[in-house]
Amino acid sequence: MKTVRRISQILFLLFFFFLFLAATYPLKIKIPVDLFLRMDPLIALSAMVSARAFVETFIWAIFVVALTIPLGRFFCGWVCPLGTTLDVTSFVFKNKAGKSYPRFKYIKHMILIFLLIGAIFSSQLFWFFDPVALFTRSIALSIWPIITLISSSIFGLAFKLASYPDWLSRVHNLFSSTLLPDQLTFFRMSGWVLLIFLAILVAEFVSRRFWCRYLCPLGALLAFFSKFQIWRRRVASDCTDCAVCQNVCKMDAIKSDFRLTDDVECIQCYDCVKDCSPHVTTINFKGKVQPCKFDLGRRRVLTSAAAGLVSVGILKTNFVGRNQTAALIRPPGSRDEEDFLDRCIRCHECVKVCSTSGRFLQPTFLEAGLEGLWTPVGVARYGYCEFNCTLCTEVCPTDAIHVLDVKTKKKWIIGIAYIDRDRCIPFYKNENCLVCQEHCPTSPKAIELKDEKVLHFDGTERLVKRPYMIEDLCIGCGICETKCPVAGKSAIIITPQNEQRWVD
Amino acid sequence: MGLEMKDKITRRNFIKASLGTALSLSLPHMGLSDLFAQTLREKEIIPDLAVVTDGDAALMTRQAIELLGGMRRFVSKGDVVVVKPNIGWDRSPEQAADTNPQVVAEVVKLCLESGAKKVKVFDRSCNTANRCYEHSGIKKAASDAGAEVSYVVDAGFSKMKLPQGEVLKQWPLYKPALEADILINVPIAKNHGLTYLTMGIKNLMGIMGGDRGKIHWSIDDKLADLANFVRPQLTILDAYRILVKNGPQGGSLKDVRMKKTIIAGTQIATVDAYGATLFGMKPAGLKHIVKSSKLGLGEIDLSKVNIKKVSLG
Repeated sequence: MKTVRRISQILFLLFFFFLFLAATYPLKIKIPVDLFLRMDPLIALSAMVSARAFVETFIWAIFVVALTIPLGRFFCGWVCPLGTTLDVTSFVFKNKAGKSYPRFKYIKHMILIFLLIGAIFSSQLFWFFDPVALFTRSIALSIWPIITLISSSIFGLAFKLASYPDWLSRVHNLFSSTLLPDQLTFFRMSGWVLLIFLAILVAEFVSRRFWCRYLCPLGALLAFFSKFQIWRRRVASDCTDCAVCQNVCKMDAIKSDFRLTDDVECIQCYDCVKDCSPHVTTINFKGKVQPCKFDLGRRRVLTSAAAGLVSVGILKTNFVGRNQTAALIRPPGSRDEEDFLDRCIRCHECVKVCSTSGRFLQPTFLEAGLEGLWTPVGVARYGYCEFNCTLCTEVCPTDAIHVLDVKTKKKWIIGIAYIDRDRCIPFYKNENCLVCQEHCPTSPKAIELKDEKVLHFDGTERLVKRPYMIEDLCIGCGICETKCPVAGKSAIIITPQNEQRWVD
Repeated sequence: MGLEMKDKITRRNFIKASLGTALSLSLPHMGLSDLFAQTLREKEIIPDLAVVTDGDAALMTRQAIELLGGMRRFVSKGDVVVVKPNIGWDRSPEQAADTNPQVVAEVVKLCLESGAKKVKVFDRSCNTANRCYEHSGIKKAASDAGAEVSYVVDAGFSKMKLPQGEVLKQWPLYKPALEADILINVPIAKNHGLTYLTMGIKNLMGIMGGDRGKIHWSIDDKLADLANFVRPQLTILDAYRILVKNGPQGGSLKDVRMKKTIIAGTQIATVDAYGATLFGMKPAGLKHIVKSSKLGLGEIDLSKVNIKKVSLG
């Protein structure tokens, strides 16, 4: 069974990566690419608490909860892509089960309560702790760009060395837009995201599954649902007290009496069953169903609830988030800012999929306030919102970005461009340029060129084509800002003026 | 032969043309057939410009090349050919922002029929490349026709010196386009805000690397320098649909006119000059075409050009 479990883990991890790579233009795949996020009960809880409503995309998560009730934390042991990554890390480095900190086990439950109380008062921090969101984010913002950078450097070198052979371009075409993006992709914040991810991996050297044992609020939630599980570890009375099981248990779920299990901690990995030399340990459905004992203690509950309230205070009262002038261009179809922040779990599926299209979206740092940390925002100097593209709206698991059809999207206003005449060449230099007008995708164009006779500063008269904005036509896609040939700050800039937000 | 004269396929003309084509085909390739084509051109059997109208896009393309003496005049057995369409925008063929996929596919077929070893198709897009390649229909049409459709890779650009460049002296250009035995330029005729029209000469911007935005400052001279350096052997202008407004990417079908015309010629400025007439414009008013002509890229006084017109309607 241990082998079966490993196969399951590997298959789910590969499936995760397959879906991750499938989140690319043209997104023809029938399976939702955010499937893992949709089957995460913690994200479901977060989204539903925020929305104060049932969100139907999370039918998968309900399915997982339904299975957790009889099967316990099988998700952690058999499915979770972060869990598998941790197991692979330990397998590679031959990590031992490591130190045990029994009192730390409560931390994850406290985090869960902390998050829940915060969410009820509309300060959503699930995004930071949810393992599937965290894993998706780490891969999207940090790992994937590194892989693509390496692979495209290899291709670049090979192209140069072998002087552009055709078989190589064929291989290149094969990988382009999956492993190789159309253009190289870089994200802000990728270093910070990577640091957190690495910290979780390094903790694996202290104790195996350190994250899962002590910190993961999803684990805590699944533990809550697995109180009445029937798929349990059972040890026959002729146990020889050899302690092997306790030493191999990566979840520290075996008590000092080796016959007893902390069932809500057990992830049914079958390591103890495999290593039990007298073959007295099994995990099965036989035996009486007794609710597992679990008591967090009143003081801990109150502490974490209070911390949740404090978090509301810290996140909700800071100035920047309330600042109307914050120049944030949100993805098309985004909900009202409050609702958007409540729902966005920073999985960065939208940012990833956008990087294969217009490369518009980037994570924020503090532009949206502490509350809006790492939320997706359009950075038009770097990329732009592709006119015919609706990909980001299609991959959002929590509906923070609502699905738009192409027709609606083409008219959806995310901002308005304005021309900085002090920097715009036809204005300050009296020379023709037009790049912004050429790229403007609306029809008729939101940028119009007017022939003007102007007096140049040397006294001569010149005929120059100058761009003018037609505000009613501009949708704020930002391609003008991206393509503006003026070095540094663009001479045409989009602001969230007139922006539309999705309201149910 | 003047611009106004429109040849019908009379028996005599047909025999002349087919005899010429047949002879040029039967001769061993390279030098001699080129020489022969030259003679035929001097005797006005092979025109400077072939203009075919009122037919199916692919058929018109084939006919236009036929009038120029057949693809074998340009493509020899074993050649590596680059066909450079306009795949600049994330638009459908009906929106006339990218070259008609049927025209591209037909050019690819003609090259392969003439014994080309390989036909490559690529363009440096303005929108995201894969979106443009798919939406324009060119990726599918060209690869179905047997071409190798590839995305432009950064590593392919290298900084080139343009020794005869008057304004544009140095720019990164796409090596696979310049290293090909034959470069066939297959633009679409469109409106453009700055150069008024974008056709053959402007289409060559698709092999430029770097920040192309900067090209737009004194664009006419730079484009002429570029065309003078690249000098595609053949330019086939797709005017099946033309975009008369909101170019170069349009978007609205209201701005598209059905012209059902294919123009082919070896002289890029001449092809563009004829193209301008489709928009009711005088070639002399388009600076980049005038400048290119001055650099020896073709006659733009169309009354001095030997034009062969065929209507398939």
